[in-house]
Amino acid sequence: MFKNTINVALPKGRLGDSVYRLFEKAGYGCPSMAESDRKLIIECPESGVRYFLVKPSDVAVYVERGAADVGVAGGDVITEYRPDVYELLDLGIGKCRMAVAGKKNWSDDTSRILRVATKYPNVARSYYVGKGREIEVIKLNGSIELAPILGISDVIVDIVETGRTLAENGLCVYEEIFPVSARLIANKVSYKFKSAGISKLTGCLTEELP
Amino acid sequence: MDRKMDFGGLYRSMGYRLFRMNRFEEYSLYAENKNFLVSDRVITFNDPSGRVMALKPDVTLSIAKSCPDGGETQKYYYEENVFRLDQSSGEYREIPQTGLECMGSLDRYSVCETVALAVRSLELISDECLLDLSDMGIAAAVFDQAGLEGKARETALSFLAAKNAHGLRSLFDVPEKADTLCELSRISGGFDEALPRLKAIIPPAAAVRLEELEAQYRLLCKMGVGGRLCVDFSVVNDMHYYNGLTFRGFVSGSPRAVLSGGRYDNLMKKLGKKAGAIGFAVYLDEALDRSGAPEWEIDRLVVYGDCTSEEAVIKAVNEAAASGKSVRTSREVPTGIRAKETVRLDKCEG
Repeated sequence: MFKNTINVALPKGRLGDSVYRLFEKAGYGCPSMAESDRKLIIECPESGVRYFLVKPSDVAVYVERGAADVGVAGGDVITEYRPDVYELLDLGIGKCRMAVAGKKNWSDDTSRILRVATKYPNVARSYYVGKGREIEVIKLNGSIELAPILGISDVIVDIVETGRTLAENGLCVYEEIFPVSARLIANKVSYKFKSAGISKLTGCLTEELP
Repeated sequence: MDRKMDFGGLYRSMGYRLFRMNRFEEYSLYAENKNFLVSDRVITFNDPSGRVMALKPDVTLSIAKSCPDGGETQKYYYEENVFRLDQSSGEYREIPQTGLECMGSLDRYSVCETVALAVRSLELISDECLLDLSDMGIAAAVFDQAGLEGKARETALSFLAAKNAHGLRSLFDVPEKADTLCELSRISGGFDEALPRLKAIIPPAAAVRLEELEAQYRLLCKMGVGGRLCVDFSVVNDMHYYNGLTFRGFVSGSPRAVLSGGRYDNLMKKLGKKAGAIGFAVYLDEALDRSGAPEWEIDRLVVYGDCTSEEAVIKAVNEAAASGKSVRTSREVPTGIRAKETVRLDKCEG
């Protein structure tokens, strides 16, 4: 292992593809990235980086625990898990919003506890605590839109990009909680001991921001 | 514990006295000072007289509460376990901690002696270490100048801790108003580089604090620890409790800070004390994690059998002990034990 190599945790999937393109434009491209889509660790000695491809929701874990020096995580994941990391840059890609959505024509019965289905229980709780509203959180891991359709929840708290999936399932956005985009995060100890490499990477990425 | 990490020896060598305390404390102490704690989740129970008690989540509060307030400086160190909620797992953990507290009418020398001891503590863990310093008085003056109050001030403090410049900008209607705060969040490095950058941005109200920080740095250089020090304003603590110098220690190879401390005169005031106070805690779980498992668990393994005389085993043990080696006797070769050498006494003739 090269001590000065910067270990980068990239999210797999659609967001990861656009994040990698940004890194490539910033001078951190890696020819072996295209060679295999099954490899989880990709070495790029020519750029001084090593990429780890991980599930988007796990990026913050790898960075907080120091396996990766930096990583790219969504603002939704950072707000939900509150990892103890530096949040160095808003990359301005993967833009969407955290929102409360429900069935069209739904009306809130404030005399009852609100049932909220979500992948983001901490975000949902803190939002409704701020509003002084008592809620029951129903933690789901996917297809959140089904919950109000099948009647197990009144609303959902989830990220919404275009709103097409919601509309196709007869749902609509009722409240926006906060805007979401991809963020460059860094491990606090790596930031001290690999400061030159991380500062250079941050500077190069800043120049390429949309 | 690694023999090298003799924190108690270090603190005793500078005249600090061991402060031993009860594992329990009345819950009200923590309920009244929730923001001082790393996590406000505390394990509570009722004692036989009905009082609500807590398993100690923090040591400093207990020492500060018990500290006599007669004007004389008190120097204590501790080796205790605290009980805290681990944010990532959501479970309570028992965490070994050591640290020290210096309480009384503090002058520059006593403040710097504490900081120097923090650096020496880091050096016990690793040669590759550094201590980040900031000053809550300077941060507070920059917040005042930006007009940040109440909830916005708390949010700004969390953004500063995360070096989150885009978050800081989002707090203002005109993003340029966050320029000073953003620059403060970016400052990270040695004093020679950081001080001119700080001088260029701080409001006049913080000038005295910056002069003091500079004087403290010069004194710390004389104490021989200047090369380990960096300025970084992401090191912040709750302003209701902390004032002045705040610091955090890092060692290469450990993913989190292994030491945290600062000056907390405001807490003393809340507890009705006139004394000033400064101290730090070393998170031994983080420090020990970094040191990893030793290559050998024991120096010598002595394996004996039915045909081995007890005298032969005693002789082998005594030989190891006489040369200062650790020894384990066993009837069989134990699995999973890493022994530097093995002496077989179980091979019988014929």
